[in-house]
Amino acid sequence: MEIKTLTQSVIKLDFKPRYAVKPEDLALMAEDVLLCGFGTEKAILRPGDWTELFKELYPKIGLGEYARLLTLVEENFDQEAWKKLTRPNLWTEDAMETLHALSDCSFEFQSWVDDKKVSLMELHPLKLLLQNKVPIKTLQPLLQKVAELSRQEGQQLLEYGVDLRLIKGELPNIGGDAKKTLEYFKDLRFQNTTKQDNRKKSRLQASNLPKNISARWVRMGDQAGLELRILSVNPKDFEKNLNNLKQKKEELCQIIWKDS
Amino acid sequence: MSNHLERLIDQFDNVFIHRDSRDSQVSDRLISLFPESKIHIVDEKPRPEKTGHLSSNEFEYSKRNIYVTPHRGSFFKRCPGAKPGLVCCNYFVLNLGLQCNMNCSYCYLQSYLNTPLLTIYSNIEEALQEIDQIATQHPDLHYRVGTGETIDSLSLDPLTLYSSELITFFKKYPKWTLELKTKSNAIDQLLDIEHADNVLISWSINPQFVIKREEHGTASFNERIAAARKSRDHGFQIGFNFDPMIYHENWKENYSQMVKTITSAFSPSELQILTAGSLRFQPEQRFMMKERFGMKSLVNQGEMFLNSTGKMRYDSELRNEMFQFLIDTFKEASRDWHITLCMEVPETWATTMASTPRKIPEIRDLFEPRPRA
Repeated sequence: MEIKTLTQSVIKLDFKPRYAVKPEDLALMAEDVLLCGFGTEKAILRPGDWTELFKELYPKIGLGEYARLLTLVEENFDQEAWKKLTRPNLWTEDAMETLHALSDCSFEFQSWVDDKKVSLMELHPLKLLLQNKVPIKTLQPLLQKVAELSRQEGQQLLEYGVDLRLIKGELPNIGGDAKKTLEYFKDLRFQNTTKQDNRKKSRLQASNLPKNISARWVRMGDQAGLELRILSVNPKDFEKNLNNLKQKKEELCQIIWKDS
Repeated sequence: MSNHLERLIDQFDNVFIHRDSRDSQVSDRLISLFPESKIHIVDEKPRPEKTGHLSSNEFEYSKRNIYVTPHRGSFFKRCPGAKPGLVCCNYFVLNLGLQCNMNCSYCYLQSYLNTPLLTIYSNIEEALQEIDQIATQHPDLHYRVGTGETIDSLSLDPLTLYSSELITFFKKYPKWTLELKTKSNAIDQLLDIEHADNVLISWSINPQFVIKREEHGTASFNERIAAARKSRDHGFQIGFNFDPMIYHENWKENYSQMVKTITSAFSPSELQILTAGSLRFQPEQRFMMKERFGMKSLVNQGEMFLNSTGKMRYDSELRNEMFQFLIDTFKEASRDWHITLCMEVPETWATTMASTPRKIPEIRDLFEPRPRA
């Protein structure tokens, strides 16, 4: 086992992995590349290609980690090294651009990407920012909120936020918790539809529904409609509720769908 | 040389001809038209097919590079509208190529293509044989066959002259209709070809405001109207497809103006087909659309929702409103105008047309099921 003192020529590939190689004080290098134990001054030199040792030490890494790794690899090596380290789906122009954009995001956001296993396609809005020359750090408040949400909600907030930034030229105000921000951004992004739905909701609220019947206006994809709930305790009660509802039918239709 | 031809020759960087297609008529024509420096005879596809979608740059590349090759497989297929959940008008498609030289922001090829080249199939004679076989079995049924599914029917026609061959071929089957669907005005090459009154040229059309913003490299509204008039004057059946209708701030005004121009330029009996459809695309296509056309695009600004058919569409109420507005505007001009819906769900038919197509006498025949090819 050869122990080497780290000189200035050694490249420290500290891509800030989420899970450190155990034991944490172990320092390993191959060729002239230090791959773990980044705080030490001496490291064990392993024979062979450094990229092979890298894959052995970090068999599963996330896109956030890849984004940080890409920056280091591009600073120190040629494209071949990247190809040896990664799967072919990360060699494409699309993937590289998305990773470049992700590398400009905060560590917190990158960690959310890794924790939630967010896909490259879901990160596409970041690439759009880069293409439109919008500095990613100007969207930091948005990314911070995204990182508080689930994968699906976060992806929606990211897409709505980037769309709105690119349409309006600025990011709408962000206040309140992440879920409220998502609701607010969704309403802004689907402004006309939200207005239309809200109009229906307030008409419904103003309507006088029979006792034991509740209703709400719900949206399911491209359709929105009236959802009714009827509470009946026995068949007679059920029949009575239906009759009451029937008597209200014309009035309800008139109130809710008067402009359709 | 016509303006169309000159523009097309400028537009393409390369013409790759597979050696197996070298002896085809279309290859001979391309070799005679393009400068030698742009022609390459190849033994394999110069850029391989991808397993996933093309990137924006690959898609752009595919619009500038032609690949001539024989088609391996069936040419004749049912229209994608013949799916469960959609109301279908018995349209059959004959694919003689893949990709388009024009550039519409909403084009479905963006999520469909995995070949980074504009492909022209060289073995048209095999396509005609295929049709011959089906036509011999059902010569008396009214089949509609269109060539504009995966490639515009006419925009590349000055290069390939395929439509001329098809028109001549369809003379044998007068009960069948050949439908050429286009957004171009490249019609001069086929105007003098003898036909059996069974060729319908239809234009996908939108108000000029939408064409300018979303349908790049296509003929303008006025050019399409002029081409339609010229075709009508040469005895072709003609039609318009208002598809996709695109929502924007002044949509009522713009669509109303479009209808006025059409109803004053043509009479209802002169237009054999009028269809309408609304904007729709595969969910994953939005990424490429945003990349290629930016967020100023009306399409990318649209409020789109995932529909039960798996596509992104406008809110159903807005779709109904747009269709109803279009139909009402036509009916204001004359009760004789009839519009059918394209790729729509039964609920929209029921709301907009107050019926389903097989219950509407004027269009019932279109929707009667045909034997499958």
